[in-house]
Amino acid sequence: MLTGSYRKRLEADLTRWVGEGLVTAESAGAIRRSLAAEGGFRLPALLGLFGGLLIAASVSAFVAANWEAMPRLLKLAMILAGVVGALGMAARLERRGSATGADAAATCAVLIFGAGIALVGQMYHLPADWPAGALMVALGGLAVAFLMGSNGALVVTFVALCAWSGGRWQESQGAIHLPFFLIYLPALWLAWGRQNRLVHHLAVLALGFWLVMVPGDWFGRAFDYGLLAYGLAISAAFVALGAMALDRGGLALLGCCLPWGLLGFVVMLDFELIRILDLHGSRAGRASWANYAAYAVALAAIAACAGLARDRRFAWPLALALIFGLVVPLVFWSGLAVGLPGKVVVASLVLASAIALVIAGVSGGVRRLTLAGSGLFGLAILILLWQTIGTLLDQSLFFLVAGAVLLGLASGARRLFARLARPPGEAAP
Amino acid sequence: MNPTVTKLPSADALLARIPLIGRMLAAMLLLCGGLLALVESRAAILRSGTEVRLRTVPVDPRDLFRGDYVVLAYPMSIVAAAPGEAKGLRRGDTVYVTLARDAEGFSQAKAVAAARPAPGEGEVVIAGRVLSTGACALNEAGQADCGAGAGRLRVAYGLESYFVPQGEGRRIETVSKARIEVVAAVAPDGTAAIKRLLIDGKLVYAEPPY
Repeated sequence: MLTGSYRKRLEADLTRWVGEGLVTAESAGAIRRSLAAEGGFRLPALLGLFGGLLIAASVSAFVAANWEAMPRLLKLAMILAGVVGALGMAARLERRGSATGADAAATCAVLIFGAGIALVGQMYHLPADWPAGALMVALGGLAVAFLMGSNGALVVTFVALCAWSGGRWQESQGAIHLPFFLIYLPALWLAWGRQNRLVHHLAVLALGFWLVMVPGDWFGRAFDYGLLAYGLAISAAFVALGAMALDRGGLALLGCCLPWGLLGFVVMLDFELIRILDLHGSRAGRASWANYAAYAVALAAIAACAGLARDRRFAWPLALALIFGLVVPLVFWSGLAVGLPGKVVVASLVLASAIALVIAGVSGGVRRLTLAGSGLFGLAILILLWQTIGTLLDQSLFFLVAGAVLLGLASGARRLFARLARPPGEAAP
Repeated sequence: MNPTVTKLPSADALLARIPLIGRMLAAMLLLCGGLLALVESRAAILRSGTEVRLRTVPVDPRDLFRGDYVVLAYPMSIVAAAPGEAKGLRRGDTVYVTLARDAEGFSQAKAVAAARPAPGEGEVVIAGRVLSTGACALNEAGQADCGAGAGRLRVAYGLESYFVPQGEGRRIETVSKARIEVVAAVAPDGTAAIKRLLIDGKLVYAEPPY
């Protein structure tokens, strides 16, 4: 799977390498041909996809208009014909070798099926139970994704699945919705073998969505600070899984855990920093069973990431960054949070975590880690300037010490990096 | 491809053994069959369900995918359960409401039970889902009256939305609620569907099974 930005960079590099005599013109041509074979410019298929989406939207609006001049049986027949026609078109396009066109047609069939469910609901005045409708769409999408090999149908499945699960969660005021996995697991199996980035990201996000709902209805009802620790642990587990996939290579779907985990990790840590500096926010919160479970999973994932890594230069600093982050909620629970020592410890941990992330990113060559670490660092500095630790004088002393430590680290970094940056073959015992 | 990936058999590789035509026909059958099964499940109620007449209380919202509809509420939407039955009932539970005809021929809720009771002579049992357990009673004007406490059940029967052509929701909304009545069909298992909508006793909409 090659992204567009990588293609552009490779194209620029190829031109340069040929100019410098590193690569012959023939080899460069061969590389370009192999790239084109993996799927180059796919405008017709993309336009076809948008066209299909518009047609599905048109069918949906037509159903909603509830036009009386047309008997509803005729409308139902049109929907069925639409489904059959789109699936037939998908099979025809696939036979002609246009995989993306076939995908677009199959996706269109699923969306028309969704409009059909809305039509039946309208015909028989079914109550506005939209999660049930979402479930039907998810099932239809899954069937088409399986049978027609469609990525678009899989995307629809993941989105509809989350709508169904979220709706049921809200109705039941936060009960855990286990039937989610009856659809998620087969969809995940499909997504695992696919090469589509959007499908991979949605598979990861759907699981994240479900995990967010596990601690109960925190959104509509009482919010508890213990949830931040839960979010932090889940994010850390995602980062560790993603990093492990990146280290092993090939596990494209798991690799998608990394950016979302990093996002959650940075946001949660910044929240923790804001609230420990806040007079009302610096409360311990409750640790529910979900916290313990999430911590157990996170620690296992971090241990696996650090222990099984092929490239320790980035896995070990990353594991350290995650551990630093996971210690932050413990400071709240230890009762230190209200005093000055607690604030100093949390601020130091957040900054240390940011620096460890940057080290992992730079030494492993993973830009996302560097970016997340720098982002966390910058945000933490802004938060500290806005809500100070103690007086401004205390804050100034904190920055001075932190700066001195970093400078010391920088001067020792040459030796550190010389040891860490040894090629993996030599570093292995 | 990396060897660790191939450990899990790919779903697509397994399904590729079935010819494309077969997979296409299966997809068509599943999607169309699903829609037709949904249609038949509702049509069966309209064809053979027992009819009940109900008074209503409408308002007019809109559903994104299904267009305009009228929200209907009924006197039986708020029911008082006997103290023994009300205990242990929670939001989302299924309840069975026994309906009996009053002097004018409208059905009224007579009893609520968590288990399906055998209907008496001239009675119909309708199934509903508990929306809340802390509802206030409705007075004659259809407004909530919490004077008698708030321990009643608010129940949904699947008869609460009526879809109309765009713009016509308002026409029904402006009609005084006392003038609208609904005839619903109730299947033997208690599932109900709207069959006719009447204003001043005159037929406005009738729902054929298909």
